[in-house]
Amino acid sequence: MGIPILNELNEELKRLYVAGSSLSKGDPRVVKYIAPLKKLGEKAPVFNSLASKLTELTEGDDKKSPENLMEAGMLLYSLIYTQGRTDADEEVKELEYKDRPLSVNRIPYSSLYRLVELLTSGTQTHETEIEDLFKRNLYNDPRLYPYYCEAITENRSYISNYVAETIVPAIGKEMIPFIEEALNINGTKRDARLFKVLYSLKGKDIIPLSMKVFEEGSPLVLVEAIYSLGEDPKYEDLLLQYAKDKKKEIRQAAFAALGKMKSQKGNDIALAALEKATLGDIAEFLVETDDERIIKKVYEEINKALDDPNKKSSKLKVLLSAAASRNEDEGIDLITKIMSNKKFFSDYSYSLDLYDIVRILYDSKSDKKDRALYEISKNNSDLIHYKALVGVRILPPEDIYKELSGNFKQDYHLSNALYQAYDMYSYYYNRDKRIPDSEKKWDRRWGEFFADKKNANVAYSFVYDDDEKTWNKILELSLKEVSKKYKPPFYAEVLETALKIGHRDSEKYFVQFLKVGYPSEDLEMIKFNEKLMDAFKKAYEDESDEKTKESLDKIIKYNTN
Amino acid sequence: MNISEDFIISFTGNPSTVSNGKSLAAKGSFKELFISDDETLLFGSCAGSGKDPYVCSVDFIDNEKPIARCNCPSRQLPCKHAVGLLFCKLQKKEFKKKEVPEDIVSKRGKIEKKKDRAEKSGDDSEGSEAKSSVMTKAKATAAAKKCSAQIEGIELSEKILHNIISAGLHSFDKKNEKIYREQVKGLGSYYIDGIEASFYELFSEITEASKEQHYGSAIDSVNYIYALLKKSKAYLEAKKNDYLAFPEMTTTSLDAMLHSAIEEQIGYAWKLSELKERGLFKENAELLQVSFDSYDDSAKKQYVDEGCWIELESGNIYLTKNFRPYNALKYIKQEDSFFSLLTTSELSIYPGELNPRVRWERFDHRDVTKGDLAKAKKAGKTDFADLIKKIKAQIKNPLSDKNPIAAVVVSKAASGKDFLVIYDEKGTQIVLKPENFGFLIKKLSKEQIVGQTMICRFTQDMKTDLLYAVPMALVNDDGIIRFNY
Repeated sequence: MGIPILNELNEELKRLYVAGSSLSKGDPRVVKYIAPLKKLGEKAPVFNSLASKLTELTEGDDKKSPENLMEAGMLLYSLIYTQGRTDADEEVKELEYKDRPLSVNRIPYSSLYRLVELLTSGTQTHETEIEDLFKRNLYNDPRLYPYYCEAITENRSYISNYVAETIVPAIGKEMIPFIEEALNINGTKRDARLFKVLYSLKGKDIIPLSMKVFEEGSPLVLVEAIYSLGEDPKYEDLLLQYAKDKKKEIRQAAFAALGKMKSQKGNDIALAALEKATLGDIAEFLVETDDERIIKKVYEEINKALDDPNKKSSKLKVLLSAAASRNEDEGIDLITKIMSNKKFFSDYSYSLDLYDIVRILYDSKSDKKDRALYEISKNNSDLIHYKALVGVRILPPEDIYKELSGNFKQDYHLSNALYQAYDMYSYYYNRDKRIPDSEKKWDRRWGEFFADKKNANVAYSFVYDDDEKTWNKILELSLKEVSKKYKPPFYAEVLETALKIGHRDSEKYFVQFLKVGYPSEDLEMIKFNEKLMDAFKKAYEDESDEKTKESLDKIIKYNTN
Repeated sequence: MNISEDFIISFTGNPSTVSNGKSLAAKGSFKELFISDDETLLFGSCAGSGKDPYVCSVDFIDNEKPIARCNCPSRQLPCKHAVGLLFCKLQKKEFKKKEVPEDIVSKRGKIEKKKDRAEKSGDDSEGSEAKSSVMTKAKATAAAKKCSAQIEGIELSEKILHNIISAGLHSFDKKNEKIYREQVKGLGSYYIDGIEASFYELFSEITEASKEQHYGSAIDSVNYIYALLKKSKAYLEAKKNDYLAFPEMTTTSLDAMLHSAIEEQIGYAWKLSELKERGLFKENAELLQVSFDSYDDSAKKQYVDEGCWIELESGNIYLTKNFRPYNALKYIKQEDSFFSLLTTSELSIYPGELNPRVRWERFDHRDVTKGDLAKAKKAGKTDFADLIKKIKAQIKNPLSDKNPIAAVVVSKAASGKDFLVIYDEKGTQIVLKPENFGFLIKKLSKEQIVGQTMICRFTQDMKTDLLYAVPMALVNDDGIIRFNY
């Protein structure tokens, strides 16, 4: 066990270290420890040594005070380290062991560290990185599980959704104890989300926890607990009661659960509710149900509501959303017909949340809905971005080029759409991955298209390596850019790629870049070949300007060594 | 030729190259894959962004030191193409038998010649080394002179430290810092680089401490420097007297040299050949990594990759440290976790205490077997009281590592409010304070903890006097559960 006065004395000596040993002479706050230490010294002589060192410190020569302080400090330090206790001074209980052994996978530091970073502070720009790690099977390691729980509850929609919808289901039940530990049933919307994920893993087995939520959970978690009751028909009456609750969210969850349960009573109520002006309570129910009477009624009600969309916007919004979420041809055709009407779309896009309907169609990734959305976007210039996105799913590259190259008002809108459509953001953010020609899925004319628009950056992204004509244009544009005051390092990469792919004029441009003052440091990392070295040596010999000669010499020497 | 993912990661040293190489293999970018008849060479061609495919190879003629080659423009070696080739082999893709290409035969020949020359000159130099290790009066005098210079440097250091302590740490402002830094810079010619570096670390700590008015670490550094000056002065005096006694062979300084890190702390960088000369090596060692981490040592302006390993035969716990100074990051490979069993024909062991630092120049690897895990488990100490005694004996020395690592066998585990406790069979306790991924302990089954070997890093909390342990890994019959990376 530690001796309290040693720690107290340590604090006093620390004070002298900070204030200066020159103040130690006669310091009463140190002197007071000498006598007790001498007493302890009767049993253990080492305390006598410490006492005498303190005496020297407080009574000795001022000049020796640093030495005396450090002598006393060093001895005290050793003494404290020998006094360390190893027993817990609080009550403990036997560890609660888990029934199932935990699997431990082997993710190396480099990937694990990065994943933790992404899960705790990643943004949407990191979406492809997370996906990449998942695809490389670098995700299933219990060391990450609490971070997955944290990511699910964070308000960073992409990563949260990806973890909840892809990673956690892939891990499966081993996540359950971690989610249960992270979940606070009295908590907020974040806990409701965790509950939902837990339910997706436990299924019917969550019902005891749901019952606990009914007794002591927060209203937000309760909504998810109600939904889980749809797993067991014995809760039908309870759900029917909740379907009349004062709170809208609770009524909605109860109806959704009844829909999942295929409750006949629920269907009857919903059918009657379809006559009403607002359908918020049964929105999710309308997506879940397979009652043909209700489905038929939904489409009838859409047609009726279209008579006066302004007056019936609230109802129409729910009905359209249900039709877009379901998979009946009748519904999708109806949506296509309605939304392809340019005037209707522009008049009601906000009041009927038509962009949400577009998103539902796009996210479903079904061929039928892709074609529907393409049809809608063809007639509607506001949706041209979606035209590109779904276009690549259903049309060959040359048709996409034909359809899009003359359609965008702004080039950057077009390049953004293409980057997204061809899933190029990982490439865009991670330049060391240049896509080989054999894997380029786009029409080869895009490179030249952007080069003609004087956009070297985007042209470089899309140009095929063997498209010499476009490369000439890109290199010429790049040279013009680097002749300006600001010389971005990006152009060194353009040169490096030109060299790698064996462009016939790449050496010439290297020399010209340096001549217009491009920093030689930015070119130093490029691996020289013999031809390039010869070009530089020749340029050096021919050059008369001293400054350029110096740059050329510098880079030649760098690459010779 | 023994290829595993661990080997590829360790051989490559760059996670993004590993990932790119893996993708090349997965995408089927390799048009041709060959293996030499004697299975010492993998080679093939891989489609790249150039017109012609890149020709790459990995040569295992020396299994402990494979060589990657490629004609792509990348400066990085191994490049993603060579790494992809290894992944193809790992993924059991078909490699056709083919003779070793001529250019590789010629390169191998050149290496062989070089090796022969080196061996020859090695023989000569061994001869000359043998000659040079023969102490002469002139050499002894020169060595004693160096010790005198070091002692002189230490005396100057003492003056600097005294001035700082006399005025107090609070007086360390920018103006004084500049003066002290100038003085410490002056120590550069006394062969005491380690002491010089300790002063710079102290200055950083005082600067940090003054922001928070929390001087604990800075005072620890003062204690360290004071002890270092005192002990190194005594050590160097003894060493000097050993040399001056020549031709008498006194060895009063030898024990400190071989069993503590004093030489390194003063600033000496051991050569592996010197360690071997002093018997500080082990032949045919097998090492199992139980923990890895990488941290930023900002005071020394470098990153440190630290691995913790169990040597299976002795059960000793060793550390590897890969120093990557900020200004040389491009040139030094970052290390990573290593999950296979590492074997090396020669393990160099630096002088030290419970966890000496080790290094190797060449290594091979293989999959970890149940037998390896059983050996690693045996490294666990069953008598906690005895272990604690040894740990206290180490940490009371101001120059020693205050966070020694040890392996212990867990007989029982319990939990408190924000800590855990493990017991040995006699009921002696060690309090655990999990860090990093230590939360996993509470998610394990009884079989995964009880009777298994836990690797812990010890720490003493100076405020509460509690000597506790931070769990780093748990070795059980099925594998290693890491609480670090």
